[in-house]
Amino acid sequence: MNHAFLDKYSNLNSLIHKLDPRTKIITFLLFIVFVITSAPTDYIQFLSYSVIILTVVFLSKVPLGYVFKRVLVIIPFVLLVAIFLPFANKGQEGWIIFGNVMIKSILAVLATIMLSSTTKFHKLLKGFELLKFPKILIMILSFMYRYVFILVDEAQRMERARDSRYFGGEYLRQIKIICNIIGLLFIRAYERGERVYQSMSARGFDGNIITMSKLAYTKIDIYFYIIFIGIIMIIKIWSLF
Amino acid sequence: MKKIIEISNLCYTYPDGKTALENVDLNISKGESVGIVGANGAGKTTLILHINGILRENNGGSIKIIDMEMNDKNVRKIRSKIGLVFQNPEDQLFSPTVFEDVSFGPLNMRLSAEEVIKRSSAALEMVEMSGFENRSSHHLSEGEKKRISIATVLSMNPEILVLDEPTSNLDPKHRRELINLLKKICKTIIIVSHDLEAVLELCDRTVLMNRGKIVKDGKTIEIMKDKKLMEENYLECPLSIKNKIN
Repeated sequence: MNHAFLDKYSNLNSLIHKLDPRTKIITFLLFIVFVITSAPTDYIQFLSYSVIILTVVFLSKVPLGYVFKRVLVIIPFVLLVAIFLPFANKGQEGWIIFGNVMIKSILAVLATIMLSSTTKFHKLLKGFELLKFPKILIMILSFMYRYVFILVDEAQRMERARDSRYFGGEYLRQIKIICNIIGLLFIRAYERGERVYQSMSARGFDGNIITMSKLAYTKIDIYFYIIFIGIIMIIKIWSLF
Repeated sequence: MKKIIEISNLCYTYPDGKTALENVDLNISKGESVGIVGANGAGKTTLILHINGILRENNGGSIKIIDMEMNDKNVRKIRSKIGLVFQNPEDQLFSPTVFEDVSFGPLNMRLSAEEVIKRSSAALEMVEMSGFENRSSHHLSEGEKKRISIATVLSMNPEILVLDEPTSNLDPKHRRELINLLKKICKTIIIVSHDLEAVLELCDRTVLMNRGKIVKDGKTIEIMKDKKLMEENYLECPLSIKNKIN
């Protein structure tokens, strides 16, 4: 069955793809912090940040249409939060904050899109792990990524089974069937969890998560660190005067 | 021959009160290949889950693996000696990449990094899946998943290999490849299967189970030839034997 993968474009070959996941995590996180802490009316600063992140998008060779679609996905959520701002504040000020929230969130999302779409998911997790993120969280994410597609498959199969025996009609009954499917999906996921745990135990799992670190920084990483952080530092310091 | 698995008087009742195993006695010697056959719900899977201590007897009986009594103290050591491959590869392969799955067992055995890498690539080579290290499991075909599943336990270099329905869901070509692969592995092997032809080909000895009891334990060919016995236990003689008799 078909699914769109989170790291669909992680197989491309570009400068950004070649970077170590840790490099991307640290620099992009720093970028987001810098964007968020900039003054609301400092348009030159926003413009410079946009140029930087768009350069990264350009360098990564990820199709612009894909990036644009990804950005669109989060807009409704930001709008939902920001839409009341113009009304809560008097006159011009509300609109400035509103615009500010929009620009900042789009820039931040662009950075995270770049991070997630240029890095294979397992490498991304490895990067977070080496940066000393809690192992249990990483393990949960890794299981999620492994099993979410299987769950979707299971749901699709049940839906297909329903469709092949369902001939339309009562609207209320249909809702009931959907509820049953959701319940069943939950039970199946739970039981699968049990079986996966059994297969882990069978291979000696005792609650301690042991992994091997296989990442290594290269020259490109060091150049990227210096250039990227250098540029955003200059912008930040410039804006202070 | 040295006894490697000694099960005596094993009883197990599921939490819902259903009796799954009743007075099971089973001894397996080193180097034997044993098939466990029986109808659905006969207790085959329950029995093999006892062999590495995932389920424990709760109604009497004892299990001894390689001279180690099954208890909390020994269970970890026993598990490192037994490679249990589950029926569904999706349950067996839970890591983001093939390499991480194959190295999971050796890492839990606290082996050194070089040893882990050495064993993992050796295991992948054995199932002819070298070069798949960085692939993610959900993009593999069913046959590939089955092979990787076997590699995940071969990397632990177990003394006993236990396989639950190894040939299910495979097309004839991949089934044949898997059978040939299993023939090459020189270890004590226990195979639970409905694929009687595969059991006939791979195992000299067969244990026939029904309703939680061992009905018959003997030479595979003798058991599978016995039409009455097979049909009484919801099975039928494999076609290859039938053709020979007629």
